[in-house]
Amino acid sequence: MDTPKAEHYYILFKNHTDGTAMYHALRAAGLSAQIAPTPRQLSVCCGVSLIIQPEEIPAIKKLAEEQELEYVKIEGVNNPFRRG
Amino acid sequence: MADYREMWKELGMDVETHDDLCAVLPQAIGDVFLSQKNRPEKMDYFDFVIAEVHGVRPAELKKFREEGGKVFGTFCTYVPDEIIFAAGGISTGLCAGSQFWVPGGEQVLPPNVCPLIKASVGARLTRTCPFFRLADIYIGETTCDGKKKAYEILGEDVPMYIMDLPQMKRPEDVDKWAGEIKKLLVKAEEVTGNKVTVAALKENIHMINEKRKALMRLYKLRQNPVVPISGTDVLLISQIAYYDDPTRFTQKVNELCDELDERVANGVSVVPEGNKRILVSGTPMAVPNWKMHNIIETSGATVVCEETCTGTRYFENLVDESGETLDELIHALAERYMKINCACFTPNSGRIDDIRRLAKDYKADGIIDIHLKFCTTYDVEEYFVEREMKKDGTPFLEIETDYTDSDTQQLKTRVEAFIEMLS
Repeated sequence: MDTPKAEHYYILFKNHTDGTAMYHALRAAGLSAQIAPTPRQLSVCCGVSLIIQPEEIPAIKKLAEEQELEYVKIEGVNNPFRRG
Repeated sequence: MADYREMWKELGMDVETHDDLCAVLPQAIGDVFLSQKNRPEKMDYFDFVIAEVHGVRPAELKKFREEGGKVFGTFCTYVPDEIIFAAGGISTGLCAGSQFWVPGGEQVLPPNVCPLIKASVGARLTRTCPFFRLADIYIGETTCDGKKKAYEILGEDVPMYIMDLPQMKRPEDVDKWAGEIKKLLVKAEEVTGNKVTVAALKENIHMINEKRKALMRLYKLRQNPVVPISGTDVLLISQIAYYDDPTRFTQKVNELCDELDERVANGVSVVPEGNKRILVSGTPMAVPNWKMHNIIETSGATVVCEETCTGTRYFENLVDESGETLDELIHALAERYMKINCACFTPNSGRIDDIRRLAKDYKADGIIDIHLKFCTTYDVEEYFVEREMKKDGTPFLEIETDYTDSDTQQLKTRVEAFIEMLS
């Protein structure tokens, strides 16, 4: 279940290959995706995940199913980035 | 969230302590990089590398070693990567840029040693840096007294090989450095078991020259009145240059530059018009030391160039590729590397010339000379840098700092006042 009104929404992956494949598929489909390290709140392991827009989650799930893209979960985190 | 813990355990790392670093890095990357607006899309590769900084590249190096390859850890821009790659090895930078590693270094080093040295030693001794676990041999150099003595301590734990860098720039010093490069070649052959041929050395000189050209292209784009990329992003790229596969890195920098060409043509800037342009000079900034760039670029200015070892000193001047013998190629390498103007040389007036030239080429409104605490050579040399820049009428600010956050607010106030003065 996604955290309501989280600051950032992340897709998590088993490995960086799945993450890279998803990133390129999302960008090709015109969906937002930003490569980011996985925040501690979601995993104890360092490694890549994608920040996505919450309103695009249904489209992302559909795309993942159509293109058989692997991911672990989608989850929101309240971790605002503070510039400066 | 790839799980690299098994790999780290296999490398003999202290996974539990390393976990403390994993806990804070994602937020720091978010704050410094992902919070920036209008970043170039092609920064995605470099975001990927930093997100996976202790994962993907260490995994590649581990595989390389399992297949019989040898990894050479290096600490300085003076070590000629060309020789290591020509011998079939891989050269990699090492961890040195975080306060996280400093207490480990202070276990064996005096507190009044620069944080870069303390962090290097701490990263090795606390077993919290995969690169420090993956190198078969470490190539040091005599660029400062602190490093020289720290290498002796590291040498009790790892195989060290030291290159004796001359401290003057007379013709005989260039010859001496050529002799040191030749000795490194023999050492690299011994470690890898491969003979360095003329063809292999030429090929790898070309490969590293291409990398330098890509970075020159990137920096040239920053000379435009339109600023197509932040200084903080370029700093990250320069830091990654020390670790990444050189050919892949070159390709990715050139792809980014293609996008930046378009940005410049279309007038797309990452900063508002009138933002002040800053030339940063001084000591190297190793990953994840983004402290000063972040302060400057969140205070109403943009870093347009770095006269540092994580900047122009790393890539300026190409190696002459025309030599047809090992001796000729080695001498060409020596000539190129001896053009790096490090504060370990006396005199080092070439660095003043560099700063003056860069300030003009990058249309800098001001210079911020930054050196790490206890870096005596850069600290003393600041006297000449400031005097000469004042002669030119170029606004100048000197900063001494370390890896802690304790002075961040104070530095921000000083930087903001400096930028205000430029307006």
